[in-house]
Amino acid sequence: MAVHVDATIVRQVAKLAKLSLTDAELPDVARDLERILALVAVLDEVDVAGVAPLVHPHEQGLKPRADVPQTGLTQAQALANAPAQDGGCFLTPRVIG
Amino acid sequence: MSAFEAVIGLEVHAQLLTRTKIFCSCAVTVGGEPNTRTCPVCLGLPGALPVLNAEVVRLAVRAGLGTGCTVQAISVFARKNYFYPDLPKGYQITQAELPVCLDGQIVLDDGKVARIQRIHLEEDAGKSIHGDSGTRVDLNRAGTPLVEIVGHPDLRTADEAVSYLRELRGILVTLGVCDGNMEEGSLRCDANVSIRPIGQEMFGTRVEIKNMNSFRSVRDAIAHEIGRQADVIQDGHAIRQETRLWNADFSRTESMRSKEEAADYRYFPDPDLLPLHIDPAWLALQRADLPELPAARKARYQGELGLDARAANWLCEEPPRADAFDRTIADAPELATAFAPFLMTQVQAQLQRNDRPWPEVDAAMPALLRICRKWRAGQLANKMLAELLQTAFADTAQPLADALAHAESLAGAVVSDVAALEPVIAAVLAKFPGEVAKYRAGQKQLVGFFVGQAMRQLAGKADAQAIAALLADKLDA
Repeated sequence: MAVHVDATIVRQVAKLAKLSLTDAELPDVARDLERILALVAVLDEVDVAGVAPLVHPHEQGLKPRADVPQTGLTQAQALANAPAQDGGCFLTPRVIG
Repeated sequence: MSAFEAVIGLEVHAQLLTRTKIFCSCAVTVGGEPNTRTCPVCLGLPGALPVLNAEVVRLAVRAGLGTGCTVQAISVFARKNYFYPDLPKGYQITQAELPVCLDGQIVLDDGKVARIQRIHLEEDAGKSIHGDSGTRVDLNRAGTPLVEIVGHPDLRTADEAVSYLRELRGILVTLGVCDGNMEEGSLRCDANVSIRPIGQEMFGTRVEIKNMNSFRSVRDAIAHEIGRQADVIQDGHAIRQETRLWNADFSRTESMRSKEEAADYRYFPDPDLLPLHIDPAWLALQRADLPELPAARKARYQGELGLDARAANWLCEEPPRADAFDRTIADAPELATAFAPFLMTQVQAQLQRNDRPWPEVDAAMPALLRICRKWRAGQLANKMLAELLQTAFADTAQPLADALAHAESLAGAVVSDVAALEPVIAAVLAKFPGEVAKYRAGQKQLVGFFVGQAMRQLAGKADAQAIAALLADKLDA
């Protein structure tokens, strides 16, 4: 089943993904997205009536760890890659609410 | 306004009482220097992988069992994607389609059942401190384990919402799942509120209210929002689907974001985490390990100890308080009906007057029971009791139990021997011949007046029952 992807959808998806696209790039991206969706839509042809949804390809569950604290990073290590910092905190441009 | 009814559902976030974070071994503690309890996992550094904390599973399962939920054999972690500085990975790990618990219930004070839709596990974000020069981010809290308990829209009034939240909090605290501290944010509540004409089945447009950090603000915010929505509709306008923040300073809700601005979170299963399997045998052990829950405790207080509903509810509101009460009253169950209201009125009044917290009372309950016993036996007159409590609670230099013992030693004994009381009583009767005549003519309630007069002569330090008995001898002779 073909899905039509227009410029509005591409802009919305790009915004959610924090990508900046020029208007010139929109048609190419739209076409790529349509082809990806068409590929995935092949799965729609499989009859899954009566088949329980697959939660995960592996059968085993996760192995939880014990609730025992371990020493992590120092403040200086934690902030080592921060572009800006202040008073032991990461400093970002002002964010409202 | 009376033509509308409100439809309310609560979403409650409870911080789990673990030692470490949900997906890494960093310690969970409050306060301290910013960014001193982090690691590559909770900083969201590339290549770091989450490993689930077993205690988180145990506590979430306890929360589910305590609220009558069905614990799911398999649940799945999902990514909730959004960009915010205090969320370093760009997504929050939570549970979406397959949460750990489904379909529970909370029984309100009046017996009404409010259904729980689901309980899911998730990680908390870090803390943002907004300033003029920028936003400062502390990631100590990032990765703190939470359960979110999502209720069905079964509540109809602000009071029902508070009753639901109180009951839920009591269960979580009793189970050791959460410390229940709303002011510090370890228990947080959002409310979805809509109104509809009475008799209409379809829900109205709902508004989500956030930022309520006490029972009082939950009640006030919901009551205010119901009124606001009724005003909007009666003015002929439509309710906008939006998120509003409760502003306790101005007692009003304020718009935060509208539906159009609502985020698209693009949930999908987290490929870094395998599904969580719950073993049925282990689950049975967890079920067997549940303590007495608040509802059962309230029933026992009323049924076995004979407390009234108000005292039973009040004790059970704070499980540590009820625990201390149970321990103290174990050897003296006959005093329960006197001791519970004594704590609820006299002791609570002293705490408020002296601005002292409850946990001090929990530790001093044996001393308080001793005093209550003396008071009930007539060995402490009302006025002496009040003075004793006032002296002890105002004394912050020593533990409350010691202060009580000290004040007790200062209080002295009540005057109860006949030789001391008789002349006082004789003087009172001589002073009020008119009242004596009325009493003998049938106004028996005047005995209280005579006791009061005699008590005044004795500076309040006499045994009222002994006075009453002597008075009866004299007057009815």
